[in-house]
Amino acid sequence: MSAEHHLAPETGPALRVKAMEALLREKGLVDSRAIDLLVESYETKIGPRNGAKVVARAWVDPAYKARLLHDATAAIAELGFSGVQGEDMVALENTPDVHNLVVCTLCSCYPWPTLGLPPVWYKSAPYRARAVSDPRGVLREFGLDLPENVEIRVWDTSAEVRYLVIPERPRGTEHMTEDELADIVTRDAMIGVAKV
Amino acid sequence: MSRIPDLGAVARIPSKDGEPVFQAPWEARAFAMALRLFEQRYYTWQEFQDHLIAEIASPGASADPGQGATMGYYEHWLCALEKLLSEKGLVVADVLDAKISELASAPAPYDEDPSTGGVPEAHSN
Amino acid sequence: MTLLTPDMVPTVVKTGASTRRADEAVAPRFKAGDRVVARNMNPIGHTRLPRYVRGKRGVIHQDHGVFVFPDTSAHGGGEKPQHVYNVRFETSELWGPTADRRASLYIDLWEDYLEPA
Repeated sequence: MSAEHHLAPETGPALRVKAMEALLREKGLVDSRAIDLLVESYETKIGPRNGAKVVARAWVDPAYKARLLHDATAAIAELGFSGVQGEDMVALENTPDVHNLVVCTLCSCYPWPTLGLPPVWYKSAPYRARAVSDPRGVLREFGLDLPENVEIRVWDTSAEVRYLVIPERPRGTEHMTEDELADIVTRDAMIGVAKV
Repeated sequence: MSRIPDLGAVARIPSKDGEPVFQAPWEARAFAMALRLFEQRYYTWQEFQDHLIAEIASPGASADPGQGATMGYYEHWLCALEKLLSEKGLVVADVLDAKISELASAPAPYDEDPSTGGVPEAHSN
Repeated sequence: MTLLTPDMVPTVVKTGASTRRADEAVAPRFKAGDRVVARNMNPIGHTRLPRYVRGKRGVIHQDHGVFVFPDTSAHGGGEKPQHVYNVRFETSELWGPTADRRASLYIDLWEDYLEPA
């Protein structure tokens, strides 16, 4: 008998989740294999690499960037990214004068199709409270010290629209291919707590 | 107001930006169940969100903004889902409690793979 | 109600379910540049008007269009589609005179949450 089967019984939320899934399965409301596939999708396929491709495309193609700023949902869908929690997208362009920062104070809404699921800190009470009350301090805590003359715009995702920050393209990247550019775009830069 | 919890969570499942998407398997199941039931139109996403917002806003929800809040998000998610499913009559509270008791008292060895329905595999000793 | 099978999962996850009601001819009450005040409401039921903006004055930045209103739709009150606006608030209005003047807050609010200022 293999050792893996002698696991301690789960407690707390793990047990509750197991019970809920068992009941839903018994009632024919969920198919556990479908749950497996969803988990796999969000763990391995749907993530910030998607958003990075959008940003890289915007950096190299001014016409695409214009479409992205005009109708982000459609422009993002051009690259094949769409769906749950990305049905109504708005792209926010960072410039030398304006830096955008995204938060959801109510419940951590986040643009899943472009960024995947939010990181732990994005969902935390301190981030949700301080992003709106002390954004410059929050950015400093992330290691981003913006000059005082740069305007910070904080976007509270309180309704159906989901926001994607388009960070500034760094200098010295003129020679890079679109794929190479996508490689340097980070999730944190697309939330607005970092620059590329 | 306390510092934002450190980005460097334990990296169990490697991801592009260095941290696992879910901190434990149960979080992944809870997430996917909520999404699955929404996809099948048992409720709207706004209805689920209503409950999630209420859980997060409830007194004591942010009592420990450090580690507590880090671990609390999917607890809130699960509570929201339980309440919504109860409200919809899909999984009522006493039936859930009974199932929890049943599973809690199930003897080891126990097949932990949720996709098999928790049915113990036949072992030959 | 269609029970989704695993092969259908990728399609549905991709489609999503927008609550936008583009075909609804609902006249907007506000337009970009209008001065508004967020209602000072403390409803018993669900709401998406965060406390920190209640009673505060801002300016309409953008009209996002028409969406289902969750506060009534969740309680069997019908979809009540209405315009959702992005509203800009100055930090001094939200947090007092010592707030960072080079920061501003943009938040999405349903029309029912707003009154002319």
